Amino acid sequence: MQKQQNILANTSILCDLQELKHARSFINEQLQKIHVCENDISMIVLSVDEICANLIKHAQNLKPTDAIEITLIKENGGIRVNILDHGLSFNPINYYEKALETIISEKKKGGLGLMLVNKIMDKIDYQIEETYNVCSMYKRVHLC
Amino acid sequence: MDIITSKSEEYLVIEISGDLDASSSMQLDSVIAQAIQDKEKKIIVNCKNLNYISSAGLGVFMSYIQDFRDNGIFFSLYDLSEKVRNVFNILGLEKLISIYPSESDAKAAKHIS
Repeated sequence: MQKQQNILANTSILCDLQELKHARSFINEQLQKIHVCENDISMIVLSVDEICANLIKHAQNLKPTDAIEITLIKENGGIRVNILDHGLSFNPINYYEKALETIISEKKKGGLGLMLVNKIMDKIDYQIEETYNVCSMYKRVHLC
Repeated sequence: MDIITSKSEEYLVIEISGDLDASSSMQLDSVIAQAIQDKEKKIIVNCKNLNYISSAGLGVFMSYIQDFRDNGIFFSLYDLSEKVRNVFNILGLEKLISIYPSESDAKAAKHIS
């Protein structure tokens, strides 16, 4: 099936955890404008927050002044979010999920973010290029 | 995010307001660590004004479950919005962390988590 894509908006945040709230506000405002249902908005906001937080915390060569670019696209009854960074590549598709009881016994604070994203989004692709990476996530949504 | 702690009967009440994300979760982490160090045995978390939670917040709660079990600490959350509760439900964490509708329900709970 041919993709019908319509870029809704884009923004960029700095590579700093304090910037996550700006990414969340951006997604929230843009998806409200096109009447995406509240629950779907919450889930997409959470997924974008998780991917950006992972980049900010774990991409070793990203500096706080570097930008993460976020593009929102309306596509075939759903929403695609592309998150572009210039850090060392980290492919969430290859991420190994631990059992919850293992996380508890190891007293780990991490490891839940990508689990959430994998459960929320319908499709996640990761493209690694020479100078940038793009995490592209798609979710079908309901309009209210 | 703001955190206020208070004592109510034998319970330590932790009240969280605002967004609990990767930038603020360490603040909650310090509060729970201190409560365990202070040998609190009943800790309840008021989530009425918790607007948002990401995995960083979930991770803080998860990372202390073993300590709660080992030290016989009763720990529960209460008064979560549907949006916040849904984030717990996605991963099935409501089976691992006690969640009650209200403070009185949390206090009335007889079991040790």
